[in-house]
Amino acid sequence: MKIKKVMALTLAGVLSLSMLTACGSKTDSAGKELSDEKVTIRLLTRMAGTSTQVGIYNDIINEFKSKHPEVTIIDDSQGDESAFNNILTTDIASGTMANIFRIQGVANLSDYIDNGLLLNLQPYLDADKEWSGGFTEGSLSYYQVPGHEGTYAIPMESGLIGVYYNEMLFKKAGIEKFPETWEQLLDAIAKLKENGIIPIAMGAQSTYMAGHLHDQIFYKWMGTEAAKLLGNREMKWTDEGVVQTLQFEKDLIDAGAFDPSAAGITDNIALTQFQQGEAAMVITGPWNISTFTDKSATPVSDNVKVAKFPYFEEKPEFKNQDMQILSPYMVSGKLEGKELDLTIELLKMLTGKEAAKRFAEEAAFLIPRTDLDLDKSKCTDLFMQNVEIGGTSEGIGVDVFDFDPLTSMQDRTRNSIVSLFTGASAQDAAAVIQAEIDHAK
Amino acid sequence: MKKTESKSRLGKVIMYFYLLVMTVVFAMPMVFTLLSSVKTKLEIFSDPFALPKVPQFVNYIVAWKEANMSRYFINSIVQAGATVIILAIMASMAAYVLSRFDFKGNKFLLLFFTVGMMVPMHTVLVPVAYIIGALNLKNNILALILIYVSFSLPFSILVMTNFMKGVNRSLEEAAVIDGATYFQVYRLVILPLCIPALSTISIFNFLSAWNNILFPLLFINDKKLKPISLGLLNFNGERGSDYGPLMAAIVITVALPLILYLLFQEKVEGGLAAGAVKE
Repeated sequence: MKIKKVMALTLAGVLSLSMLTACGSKTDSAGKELSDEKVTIRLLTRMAGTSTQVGIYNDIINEFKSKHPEVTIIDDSQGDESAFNNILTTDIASGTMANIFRIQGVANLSDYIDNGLLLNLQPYLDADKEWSGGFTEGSLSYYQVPGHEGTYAIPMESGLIGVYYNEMLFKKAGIEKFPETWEQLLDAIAKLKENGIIPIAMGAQSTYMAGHLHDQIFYKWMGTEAAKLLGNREMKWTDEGVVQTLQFEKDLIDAGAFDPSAAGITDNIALTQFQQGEAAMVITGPWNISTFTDKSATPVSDNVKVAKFPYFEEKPEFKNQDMQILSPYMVSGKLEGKELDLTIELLKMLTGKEAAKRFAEEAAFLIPRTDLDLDKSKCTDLFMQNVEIGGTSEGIGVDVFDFDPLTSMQDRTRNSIVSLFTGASAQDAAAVIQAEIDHAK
Repeated sequence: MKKTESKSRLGKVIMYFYLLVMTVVFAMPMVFTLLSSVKTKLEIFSDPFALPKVPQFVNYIVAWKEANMSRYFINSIVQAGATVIILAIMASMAAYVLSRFDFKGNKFLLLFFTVGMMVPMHTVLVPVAYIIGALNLKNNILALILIYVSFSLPFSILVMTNFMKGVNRSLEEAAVIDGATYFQVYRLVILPLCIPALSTISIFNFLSAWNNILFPLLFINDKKLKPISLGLLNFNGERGSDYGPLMAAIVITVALPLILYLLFQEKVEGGLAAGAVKE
């Protein structure tokens, strides 16, 4: 009798669990039943967080939803890099790519194309000239992967990585004009230091900051095309010219251009030094413009200006070879039919003329389009300055490692560059980077 | 004699100094988080341990309401709570059999369960993701709970088995003489005696499920079902985080497990020490 009672209870438990499972998957199964009519679009971008541009991005998605109530949008976007990478890696391994996603870099896209994970967007660009005609040429050709026909991403963010400087601190140090050349920069650093001002805000614990500084030096000394030569192994990190670019960064360290504790501080602390008027310069992208123009976040906002990184007098041909940010949206190569059409429609809404205008005017977030038609009264001066000087770029490079097929090069190059701050020589740093490349052969 | 006394006094001074240093080391991140939760971003990074000029309690409102932490909080309680209950039942039943019944393969079975503790989570991520995708179990809370259960089961069985082995058998024998079935012995005799061990595994399993970010990140993307650990990511942007509300959200996230740990602290420690010495 008691055994029966236990059996009955167990069965009831199992039944309840299976009902719970059924409840949990009800939506899924319902969704599956309706999958002939309903479409699910999954997004895996870096558009997450509480910034203004994320708000606009969400508005566009909501507008798309109201236009297509039959479409379910699942937004897996992550601001946090490791969370993003975890999802992307699992997606790739399990073959369940999001409809619209993002992979940083160019050279490493080859494998994804070969495995059919990336859609060639060229036919869609050709079919809609109004949409495609607005993109700057350089930004689209950036995603034409060597060895493959077509264009494999749509640029969704661009902008000059410039030197934001505090004009008042420069004047206080007796510098009337922002340095245009490397020698002038070294002079300015010496004067700023004499006046007790941190010349350049640097948080090398966030390795990208030291990396971006090297990118700037690299493009002004070697030109943007040299990054491709490093990537296709026609050039080595231990080559004299490349080592010299690392030596220039070392020279800045030796000249006292940074806070003595730069190696141990983060980007947030470095930016705070600039925002509070303790540091005279910071190298960053347009994403910080809204912070720099907000008086409550940046008490010295009235004095903040932007300029290009100084060039080397010996290399005038690279004066306008600049570092710019360029971020993409990719589309899964596995899509077809209605799902593909709707995904492309959403992609166009996110990167089209109207979206670009809104992103620029409301969030100082620049989609690389020439048909922006900005209402200048809605944009800050700093943003307009950035757009103006960014428009003079004759060669654009993102990170130097972007053209390297070795995915570990992001961490390797940045960590080795940071090692300059902790005593390593330029030759040592170059040798460590080159050793990783040689080891991977 | 005096020499011994002064030696022991010196030892005490060193010990208290060490404890004081360790207290400061461990308390510092908590103090930083608590202070930062009522500061602006500029204040947080300009002087991390200074008091805020004007306390920004609005950070808590932003975290709780606008970032939907209230919903995530409830989701986490349900997910972690269910994990704890299922684990307590399964681990105690398995431990009862492993500690009380002699049968062929008993030791191997215990070893088999224990080996599960050595499987790193990341090594099975892709197969688990593949299974979840193939069975269409994404956004299925029960599937998520079962994953939590499977990863915590080895530790729970080990602790429960070791504890039960140390429990005196005379009460059980008396119950059997009075006609109790195995299930009655388990439910009416063993379980009440194992409360310290149950408390231990429950608090550990609760924390493990509460803090887990990897599995919900991969398998839950419906905003209505996300747990609190994923909610914290809402404050992280690609190029900057909203640190004030983020710190407030961290305080909210940590509060419940901290309270639970303080309430059950003695039992947890008792459960962990159990089985260390055989009576």
